[in-house]
Amino acid sequence: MKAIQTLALTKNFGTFEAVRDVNLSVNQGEIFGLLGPNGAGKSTLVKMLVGLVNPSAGSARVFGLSFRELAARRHIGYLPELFRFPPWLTADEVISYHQRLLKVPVDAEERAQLLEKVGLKGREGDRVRSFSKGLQQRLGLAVAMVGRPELIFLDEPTSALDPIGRHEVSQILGDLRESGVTIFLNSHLLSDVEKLSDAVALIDRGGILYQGSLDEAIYGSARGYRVHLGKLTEEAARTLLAAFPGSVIQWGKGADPAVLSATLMREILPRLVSSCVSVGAEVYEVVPDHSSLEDWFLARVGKDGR
Amino acid sequence: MGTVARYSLKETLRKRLLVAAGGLTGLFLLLFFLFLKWVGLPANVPGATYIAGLTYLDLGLFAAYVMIALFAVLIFVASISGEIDDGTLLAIVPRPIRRFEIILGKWTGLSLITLVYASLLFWGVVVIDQAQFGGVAGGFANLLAAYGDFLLEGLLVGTVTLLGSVLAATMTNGIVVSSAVLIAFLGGALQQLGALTNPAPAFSVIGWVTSLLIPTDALYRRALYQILGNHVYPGAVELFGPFGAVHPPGEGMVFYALVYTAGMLMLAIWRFGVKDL
Repeated sequence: MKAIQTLALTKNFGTFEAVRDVNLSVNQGEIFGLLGPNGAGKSTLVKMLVGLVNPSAGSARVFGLSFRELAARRHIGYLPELFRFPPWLTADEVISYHQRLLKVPVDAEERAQLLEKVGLKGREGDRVRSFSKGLQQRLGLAVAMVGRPELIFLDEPTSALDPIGRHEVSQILGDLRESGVTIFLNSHLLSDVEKLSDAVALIDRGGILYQGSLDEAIYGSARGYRVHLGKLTEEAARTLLAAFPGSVIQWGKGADPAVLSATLMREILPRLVSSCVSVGAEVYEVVPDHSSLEDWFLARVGKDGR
Repeated sequence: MGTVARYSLKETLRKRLLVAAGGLTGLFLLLFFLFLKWVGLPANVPGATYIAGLTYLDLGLFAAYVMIALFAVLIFVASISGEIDDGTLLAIVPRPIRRFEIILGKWTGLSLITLVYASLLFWGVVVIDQAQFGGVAGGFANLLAAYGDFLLEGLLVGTVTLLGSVLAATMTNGIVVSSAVLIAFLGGALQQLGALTNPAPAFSVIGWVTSLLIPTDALYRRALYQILGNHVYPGAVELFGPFGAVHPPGEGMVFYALVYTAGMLMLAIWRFGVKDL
């Protein structure tokens, strides 16, 4: 059973198509990153899945249950992007409020554990009005984890956090994945998504452009590699250039190794290394050209965000 | 629903609005008490005590009518729109509760506060006036009926404001509902003046139309008539001109106000249910 399965999910605001025919499939226990430029429809999609926005067409299921059913929402935790907790409540009371809304035991121990996990130990009795945006975001993460949900939607969870906070959140998300929790991560911080996600979807102008594993997204197409080679003879070089058309060799000065540059699929890389060894060269280093989720994102969406 | 109602109550108790409103109401009642204690009465005029008691009761109840309406507007005005604006609701709506429970919870909690406020003001005015001038306010049954009208006024204004909070921005909502209450009063005042000075039906039509728009003034006039209409002093009901109740609304208007309040609440529930947040 999928954690999330959407079928032609669509949202129109008047004549504007915010989300169009989205078919998403999220496996249980994975961290799923939703990517897209500003105004692509990410937040609208998340809001539909958590019941804040009513879809114009299509449907979605959460752990096999219609997302409109209350039973489905018992599985869900949610950290909104732009939110504020009632400033007149203390951190402990905010969590207690959500325990009551979830109709789970109003357990003081759970509250203490959650607040400790997000780094708010010692601030339990402080009113939310005294919290910075970053501290409120930490509290929001604790609230999203109330009642041990099986699926947590995080909308820009680290946008207000300092580097320490971001590191801590990464650790928390890792722990949650270890315990089998599915995480739906919507973030502009591509490095966070790249570091954490198992699978990603790319949405632009309301439609899904890509959905699949992160590895496939980054390594699914050919990329450049530079192989640093020692003891490379001219004959060996000719053999390699013939075996890997399009590759180029740059000879080093003096005793410096030569560098073979080739653009190929990742699957071909072991064969390249093996060929280098078999022609008698010594492989010192294989360096991938810089390629990351950000490059992939920019290539798919365009550097202007469109 | 109970959780939302409880936290709505907690919110009003912790916010300065209630402290400010409570303090100012206490000050109003204190001033009303001191005014009645120190105000002079014309000597050797038969019935002067009665007339003074009725006049000041009418004055006090008018102030209570305005203050209850204002309080209801202020306490309900941001109940939904404010929480949408600052994102508070975004964390609550995804929880396994129906949206109607959120509306009913807010309505229950804030209505309770409004009813307590209306009770304090109504009985405060009546008791202070009665203590000073004796039993000028008619029988206890009449007082209870008038009290019911004041409670219904608070509930009605609060419910309309709750609907406005679902439909519109906070400031727009506050201005529209406050203006509607004021227009209803002016319509009612014209109707009373017309009844006293000009029998043209246009005055009655204005009063009816404004009462149908929002029946707050009708409830106020009815409450006044409960107290003044059966009074031993026969001219009491006409004494106060635009602030009096020559033509009191009947039972039908109370029924209308109840249906109106329920209808507004249903509308708020329906609209919030389909609203994108």
